[in-house]
Amino acid sequence: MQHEDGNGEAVIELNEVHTRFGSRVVHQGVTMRVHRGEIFAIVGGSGSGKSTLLREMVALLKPNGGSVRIFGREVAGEAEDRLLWLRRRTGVLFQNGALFGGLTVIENVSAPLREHTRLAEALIHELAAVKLGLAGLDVEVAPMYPNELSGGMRKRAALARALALDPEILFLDEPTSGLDPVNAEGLDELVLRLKNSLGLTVVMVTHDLDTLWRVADRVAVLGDGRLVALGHMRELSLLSHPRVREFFQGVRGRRSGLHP
Amino acid sequence: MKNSAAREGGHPTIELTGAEVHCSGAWTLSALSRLDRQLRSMQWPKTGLLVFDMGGVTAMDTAGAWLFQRTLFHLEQGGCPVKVVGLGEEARSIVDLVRDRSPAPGLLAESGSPGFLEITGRRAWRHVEEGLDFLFFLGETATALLRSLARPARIRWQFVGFNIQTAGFDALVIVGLLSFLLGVVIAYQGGVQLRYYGANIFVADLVGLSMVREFAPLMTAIILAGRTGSAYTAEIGTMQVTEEIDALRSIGVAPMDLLVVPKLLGLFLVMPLLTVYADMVGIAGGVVMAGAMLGVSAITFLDRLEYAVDLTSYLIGLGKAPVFAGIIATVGCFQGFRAYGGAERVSRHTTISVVQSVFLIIVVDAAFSVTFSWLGI
Repeated sequence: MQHEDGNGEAVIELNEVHTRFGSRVVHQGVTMRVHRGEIFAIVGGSGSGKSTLLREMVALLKPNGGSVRIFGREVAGEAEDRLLWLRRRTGVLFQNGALFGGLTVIENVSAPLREHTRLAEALIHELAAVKLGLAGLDVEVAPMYPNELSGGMRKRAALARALALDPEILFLDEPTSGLDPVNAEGLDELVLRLKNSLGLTVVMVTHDLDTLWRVADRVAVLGDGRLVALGHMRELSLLSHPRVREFFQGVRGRRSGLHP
Repeated sequence: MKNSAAREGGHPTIELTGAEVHCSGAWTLSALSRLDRQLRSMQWPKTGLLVFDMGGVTAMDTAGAWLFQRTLFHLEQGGCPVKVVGLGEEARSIVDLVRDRSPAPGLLAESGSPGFLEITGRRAWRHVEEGLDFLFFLGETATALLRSLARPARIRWQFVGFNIQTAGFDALVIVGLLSFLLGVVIAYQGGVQLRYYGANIFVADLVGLSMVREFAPLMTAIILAGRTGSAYTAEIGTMQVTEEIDALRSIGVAPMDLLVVPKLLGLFLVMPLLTVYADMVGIAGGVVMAGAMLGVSAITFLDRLEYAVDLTSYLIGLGKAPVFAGIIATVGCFQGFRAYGGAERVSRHTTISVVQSVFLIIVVDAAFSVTFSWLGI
């Protein structure tokens, strides 16, 4: 587990990423590397382009300039049908789950397996149930529809779907938002355990300082369209950069700042 | 590392020699299909200790770990003790994770699909429930409407106006075009027969009566069911899915007053108007065809029309319009409110809404015809 930039194999490399929406500039040259096997968090105020950056990493959005390389291959601006390898090796947990409303939970989790593998129906069903278990859900929820689940369960079901293909990189957009502290802590534990057992690389966007202290190996702070700081929470909490201080000095920041 | 190893690690294999099982290759998702088949058809010894040598396994992910776990579970269930050797550190932690977190393989057996009787029963019950819900909704709508009419100042007139525009004015072209064509078709089909008997002039009776009494209200209603009823369902359904209905409720706005009553009032006003319009355009179509094919001039046609269509027929046709309007608005809104759950439900209920409205319109129209002939009018 390396906290410094520059060592370890980079699985994601962003180079001088520029993004604009109309005249609003979101990123003006963001450069960062994510190493294999680390939990990498992206933080920043509202509108600092955290989620946008995540969407660019998973090639759902094309940056206006710069390059995004995943596993050493350029993905920015690639056609959808040439990105199947990326879809196969990454999993995304969307902020609101984005479960398919017309499918049951187990069908949601099976969907990527069905699309990308030729396994027998019975095995797909079993594997989907295993992923539900990994995400901390009981098999009883399998035949339920997403609208019958609570927010926390929906997040877990969405995580199970993101894990369906045993991805090497897991992207989490606000994994703990909308969860109560107990559930949030449970999800953190889960992410840690998955990382440790499966050697997952995790990239997450979050506001949750508790999560950051608990699981993040490195944290990137975005501000004014740039990367303003990068490091473990311990290092960041000592920095005096105004954007970083802003982030730590909210009420919640002070509370969580007492963490070890 | 895991997956690059998987790609280089070769196909996953399992071999049984005596009491020893040799596993090798990459036990990862992409190559599991064959392994799964092999495992399912394997002839395991009935008793005695089995030793699993996992030394040759180059990579393992949760899918592979599950297969391994499932195999061990079934063997142990069958009374065959198992010993595992040579499992790497990384693979062991994955296997442990899967074992801790996954349900017992026995639990995963699919709960057999329901039988014919059960499916039929459930379906039937669902329809009964829907019917009861609809009655309930009808009552609710009626109360909301009466409440609004008692205090007209509370009616959201801007929405009523908007509805009159979208359901009425915007439909003028399509209703006009189809009614005109319908008038042409009736005149033509009837004219062919009438000509044999030299009764050309009766084309006015034919077109006039059938348009005014039956086709104009029916045609208008069917077009509006497809155009407006579906839009009502989609609008309310989408609001239902995105919790906007709940949001309205939470700020103290009754969804009935905002979403249903203006639509109902709008359609009540618009449908009779559209029907009169369809009457006129339909008859115009008849006039054009009668002139071209039967040599009945417009003046003669309209002269005859005065005797052919009495006020009763006209009012009967016009009187159906508000009834159809009620059907379209209530069915459309009702199906919208039922579309909670997801985008797919919205599309399904939109379809149901159109089918049910058209069905009810035709049934009610038939009921009208039977009743009127019974009453002799």
